[in-house]
Order: sequence, then structure tokens, then C-alpha cells
Amino acid sequence: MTAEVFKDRVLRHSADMWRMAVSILRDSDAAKDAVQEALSRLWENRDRLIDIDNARPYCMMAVRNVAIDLCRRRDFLSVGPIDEAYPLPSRDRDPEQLLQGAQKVEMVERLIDSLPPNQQTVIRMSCIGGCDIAEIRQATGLSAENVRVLLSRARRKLKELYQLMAETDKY
Amino acid sequence: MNSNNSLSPYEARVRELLGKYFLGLTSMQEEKELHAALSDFPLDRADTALRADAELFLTLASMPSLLPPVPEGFEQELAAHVDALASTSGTRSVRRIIGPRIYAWVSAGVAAAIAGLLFLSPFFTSADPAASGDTESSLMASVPDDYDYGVVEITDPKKAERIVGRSIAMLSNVSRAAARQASGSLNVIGQ
Repeated sequence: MTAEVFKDRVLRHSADMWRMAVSILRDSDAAKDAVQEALSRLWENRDRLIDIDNARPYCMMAVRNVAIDLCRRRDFLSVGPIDEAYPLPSRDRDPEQLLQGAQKVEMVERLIDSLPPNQQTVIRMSCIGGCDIAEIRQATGLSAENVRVLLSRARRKLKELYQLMAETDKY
Repeated sequence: MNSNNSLSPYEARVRELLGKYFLGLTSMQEEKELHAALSDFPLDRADTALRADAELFLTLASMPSLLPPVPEGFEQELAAHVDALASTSGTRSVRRIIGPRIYAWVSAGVAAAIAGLLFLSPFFTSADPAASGDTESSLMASVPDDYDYGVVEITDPKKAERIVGRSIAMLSNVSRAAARQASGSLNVIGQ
């Protein structure tokens, strides 16, 4: 596979890869490193991408694995306060709404962190990577039914925790 | 709380889609439909459970847009990174060919042999400087001039295997020769 073909197949998912990395690492510089490292790993295994139409599941899985490795190595899980962890996107939106949204995202991220690893994987691939069940199945090697069950358990657990927090007004 | 038979079709659809969502049964199309429906839905008048479910769904759905934006020029950086990878991948290192585990053992062997030679060198020089000089020369003569001690970039895997095999054999010979010389020197010192 030539560099040009590789770039065409993989770099189109770079924004999703970035979001996946930053959602796990919560650090822009580390997320950049993670995406680059994931690209290197994908390049090493580029022969496996030849017969694959949609490389997104593999890209998401590669960056997820690298980000988790980085988390373990550098203990990124102990993140700082919200404004340090999430520089707000510069969009033409009400800053207060953006802050509230970012706080909710931060809270949900923490709830996701509390899920079992396989549930974290499917929920991140679904919400942040925008992958459907078929793509998650392709990346993880699980059956479609297993993916659906994991997704369902993850969402219901998040719902339970979210309702608990809503009732106790913790956010 | 509203009872099911007093729900508007609109609210009933929202509840149905939320129910399916939390069971992992919604398609991407249905999730888009739910997102669009909830953006106009009067959540402030909904019951607590529905409001919490809807808020969680909307938060999960909006996560990509609320994460930090992709840095400017990032894709170009990545493209350059791929070009750099492509330019170095024409040749394969010995480490990749023979595998990291074997490479580590060979490296450790080389390091141990060098350390052994360094440890034994005082015996060579203290016994007979001229003889130790000859020994050193003969040892160095057994090392090919083009021997590369670092990661060798090669294009022919079979040739790499032959080089590694020869290197290991040569190091074994060097170690044995050094041990013989050391033994002889120790005898000289003892006499």
C-alpha cells in the first residue's frame, strides 16, 4: 500500500481519532502523540488494510489502544480541573452554554471512566467515534449481539448514575 | 407524570426512541431523528426521568462537538508523519526481521562479551604488554571492518539472518579466545 493510498484511507478519520484520543487522555498534546503513534502502528500493519473498505473501526481501535497505554504509563486518569482539561472550542456560541455543556461532558466522561473496560470501548466508539454496531463489531471482533448488549448495559448504567446525580443535584 | 394514553404522538415517539436507545437498539438514523426531536422538545415540562434520559442522550450525542477542536494544521502534520514513515519503511531493521526478543538476547550477548573483554583487559596488559597488544590486534582482526554494531538497515532478510548467525558465531569465538588468553595470563601472573 502506498503512502498516498494509506493517507486517503486513514487520514479522513483523523478528526474522529483526535476526539477519541482527547476524550480518553484529556490532554491535547498527549492526544496528538497518541494519534501519531496510532498512525505508526496502522502503517506497520498497512497490509491488513488493503482489502478493507472502511478503515474507521481500525483507526478508532488503534488510537483507543494507544491512548489507554499512555493513560496507564503516565497516570493521566488523575485529570485537573475542567478549564484545564477542556479548552473550550472557539465557536460562535454562548460561552455560558458552552461551559455548561463542557461540564456535563466532563461529568459524563467521568461516569464512562467508571464503566468496565469493554463497555467503555463500545460507548466511546459509539458516541465519540460515531461508529455503528457493525463498525464496532468489526473493530472489536465481538458479535453484533455482544456489542448491542455491551452498549445497552453501558447506556443503562450511565442513565442510572446520571439520574442519581440529577436527583442529588451534584452537577 | 403523563399517562401513556394522554401522550402526544410526538412525545410518544421521543419516549419510544429513548427506550430503544438505552437498549442499544437504535440505528444511526433513529438517533439522528431523536436528536432532532429533542432539540424542539419542551424538556422543562417533562417529568424528571424523561428529562434526565433526554439530557444524557443529548450530552452523549454532543460530546464530539464539545471536545476540544482538532488543532489547526493537524492533518498536514499527520500527512507529513506518514510520508516520513513511508520514506523509512523501504528498508527493514534487524530488530524487525529477527524479532525484538531475539534481538534483545543478541544485544545482551554483545554487551556481555564487551563487558567481559573490558574486565579481562588488565590481565592482558599487566602480564606482557607486547603479547596483550598482539592479542588485541588478533582479536580486532577477527572483526570485519564493515561490522556495524548498531541497528543495521538492510533490504535482504535472508542476508540479515546470515549476518546475525555469523555475528553470534564470531562473538562465541571471541569469547572463547578471550577466556583462553585470560587463563594463560593468570597462569603467568601466578608463576
